[in-house]
Amino acid sequence: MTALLEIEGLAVEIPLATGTLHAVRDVSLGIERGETLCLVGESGSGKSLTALSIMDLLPRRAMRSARRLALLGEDLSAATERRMSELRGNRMAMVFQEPMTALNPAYTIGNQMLETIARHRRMSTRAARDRVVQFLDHVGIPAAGARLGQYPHQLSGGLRQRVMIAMMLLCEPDLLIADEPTTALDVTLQAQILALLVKLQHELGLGLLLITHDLGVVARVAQRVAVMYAGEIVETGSVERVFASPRHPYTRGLLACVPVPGKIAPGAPLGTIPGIVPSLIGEAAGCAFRARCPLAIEACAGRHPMPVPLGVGDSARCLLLDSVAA
Amino acid sequence: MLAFAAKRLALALLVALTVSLISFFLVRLSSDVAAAIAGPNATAADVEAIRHQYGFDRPLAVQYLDWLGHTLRGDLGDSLYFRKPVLGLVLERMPVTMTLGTLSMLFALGLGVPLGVLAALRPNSWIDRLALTLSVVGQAMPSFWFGLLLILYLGVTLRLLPISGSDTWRHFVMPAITLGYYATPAIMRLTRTGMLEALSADYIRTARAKGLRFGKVVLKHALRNAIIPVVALTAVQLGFVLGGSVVVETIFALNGMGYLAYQSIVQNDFPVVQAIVLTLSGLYIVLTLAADLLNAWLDPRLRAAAGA
Amino acid sequence: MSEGLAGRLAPGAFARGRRRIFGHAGFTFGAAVLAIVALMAILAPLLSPWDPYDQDLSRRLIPPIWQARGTMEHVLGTDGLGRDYLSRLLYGARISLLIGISTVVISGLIGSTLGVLAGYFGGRVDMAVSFLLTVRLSLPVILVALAAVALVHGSLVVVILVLGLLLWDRFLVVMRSTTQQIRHLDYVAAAEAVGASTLRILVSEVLPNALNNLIVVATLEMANAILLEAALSFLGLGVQPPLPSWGLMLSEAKPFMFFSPWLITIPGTMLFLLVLAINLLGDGVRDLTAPGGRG
Repeated sequence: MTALLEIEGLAVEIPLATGTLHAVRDVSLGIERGETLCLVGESGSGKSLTALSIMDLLPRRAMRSARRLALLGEDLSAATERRMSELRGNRMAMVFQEPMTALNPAYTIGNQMLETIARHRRMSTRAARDRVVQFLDHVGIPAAGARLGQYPHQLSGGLRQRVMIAMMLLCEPDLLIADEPTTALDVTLQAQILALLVKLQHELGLGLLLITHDLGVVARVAQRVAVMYAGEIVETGSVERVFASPRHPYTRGLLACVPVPGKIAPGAPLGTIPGIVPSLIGEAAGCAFRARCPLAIEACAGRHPMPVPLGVGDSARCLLLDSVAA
Repeated sequence: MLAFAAKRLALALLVALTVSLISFFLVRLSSDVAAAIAGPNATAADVEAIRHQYGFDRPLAVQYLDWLGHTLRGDLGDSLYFRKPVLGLVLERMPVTMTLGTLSMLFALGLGVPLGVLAALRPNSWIDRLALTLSVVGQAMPSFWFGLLLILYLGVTLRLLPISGSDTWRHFVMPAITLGYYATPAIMRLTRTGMLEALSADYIRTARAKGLRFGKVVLKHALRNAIIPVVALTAVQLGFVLGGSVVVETIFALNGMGYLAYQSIVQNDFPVVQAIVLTLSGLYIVLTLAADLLNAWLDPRLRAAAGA
Repeated sequence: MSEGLAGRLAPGAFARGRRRIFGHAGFTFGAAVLAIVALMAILAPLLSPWDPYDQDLSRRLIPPIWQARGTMEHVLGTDGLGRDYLSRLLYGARISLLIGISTVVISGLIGSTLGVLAGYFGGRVDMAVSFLLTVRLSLPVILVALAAVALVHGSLVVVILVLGLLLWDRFLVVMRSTTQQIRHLDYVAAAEAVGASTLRILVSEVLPNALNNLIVVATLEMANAILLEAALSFLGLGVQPPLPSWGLMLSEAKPFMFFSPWLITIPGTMLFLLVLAINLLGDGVRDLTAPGGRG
């Protein structure tokens, strides 16, 4: 069966006055139908750019390259803008972080949702309207019919995000990318939106690429996880495996930062990862994490670690892998 | 929305009143109107008689209120030169000026908006530079010189267009270009800035993520938001254009209000001058008011703030 | 835009202001041309080969040196009354610059004072000043200037006064907003707390910060004044003959323009270049003093 999304060796470079910024380096991942993959990392790790690369929505200056980038077997890296615009909102869709600004304030909700259908489907206006109302209702928006005539500023953040999700799923795409969809919402809403995404995924058989910096979300929602640091994927695997026995020092550090009620003694200090993210300008020498790694050895400065396979679909980039006990 | 409009209207009326006050006192205070009416051969007694007859010896405040009363009833007095009612004169000439003004703004919009959009789509490209150059040149060029050059090259050398009079639509082409060219830079720059801002907005990214075609994204989503300030600017620029019609109409001998104003100023025909200042100011005030209201209506967020 | 790299790299972030396209070249060009015109004005008596008022009807309408009948004696030709065009051009520079500078000084004082008062005191003072501004903006400037000048009979001084009394609006707006911004800054509150007088605060805190904006507005209004004077003189209601105002030269050239086009191209080009230079200078100042750049 063709994988839904295949990415191999994705790189994004941005020319700056001070040099070339290697924002995304050698990222490889794959998603199957009906599967949820979480892409985890701190700010600046390149998660969003990776997502934008898939949709080809990168800023003008950025340059994307990949050994392989395919959606259901179709090569995306060579696709024309015309073909991409046919695919976007249709076979692949994306939900963004900021629901407050993601909708056009000058047009009604109905207008913005209907235009998605009009772009990709031949449907009578009535049928389209019915479908829109149906979807709005399905994502949990009360009084769905009335919303069509409303403007974005009349809706709360949570509702707007639901509208976004509905809008992007109107044409029942195969792949949905969600870039930190709940970060801008308060905690109660977060749980609701996540639950909604999971429900929709099951119903539509979507592949879901969920980007987040919150490990709690990963645990709740995903089957597989890829950990990103400094533009690279440093560890990838099933959620159970990674959470139970993380192999990369960074992953371990991340997990140690998350206080788990019951497992952490009261008064014990919260885990941190000392240091800051290295500059991504210029070529990388050695392991990007070595400055902050408690296990770094001399060799880490010289050789850039390639992903070491740890099982089917599991891998981690670390020179010490053989010596680090499970 | 209604309260908002009412407030704006009240302010506009107050401004109009003040303008009428200014134009009235400007004329009355600066020279002897009675002497002008009497003519160069009049004796002192004649002048006195006229002064009394026209009521110029009454207190200024009384004169003003009297004049205001007459004006509100549509009686703007008689032209000293033409010996006809001023109102009739002005109304006769208004269509020409309004046509010129409209055509000029159409030219300015037709040139400025597309250039602004294209410049924003390709910043720092050749089209951006071209737009910039046109904008810079347009602001520095004296409009009357531009008009003369157009007459010289388009009218005389190439014989493409007539150079004076206001009979056919052709007579309006060069004047409209001359007047419109001055309004173009501001419109172009505002469109460009607005588009740049709109294009970098999140909702544009959403529109693209939906797979909408490029043209639609630009025109439907970006321009719609970028154009809002341009609407207000257009109204304001129309006001300036109407004011600048004095010079352009005079050069091209177009029979409009501006030309009438010029003739009247030269002939010391004060009632006419006063009336035209009032009319043009009034038009400008109305335009600004319309622009404010249009703005509020176009931007749903402003409408909400205004209490629609 | 979302946080992080993706946010900072949005297309909008890379949009350079239009002034950046010219970059420093504009500023340099502007400064150079302005300097040349200033020199023309200052050194006019030295540089002019003829007296600009000297009429000689036997030498009317001689074309400039680059045309067939041109001569070295009159490098830029002569006008309809036989006056040397180069000399008139040089002396005309004096008038343009004089008008530009004087008008800006007067309107600058009026506008800035009003603006600072409105911005500093706010409330009713602000409302009154805003109303004044709206009224002023509702007046068709050219028309009012024309009428005003006509009523008092045109002359250089009258033109300067009338324009100075009309062109203060931008100064007002700029100073008002600058004052408002500064008013609320902490160090003004601190100064007030220590008991510094209002005037002292205005002078020592508000003015220096407003200087950049003031310069930019001053250049804009200077260019505006020069163009307006040219228009007024062109219509016969500004500077009176025989003064060599460039606008007046254009007006006097009209009857002859079909056969002697240089009579309008030369003064017109000078006006254009001068105004262009001043605009570019202003843009340059704005660009150089606002490193964030305004697109």
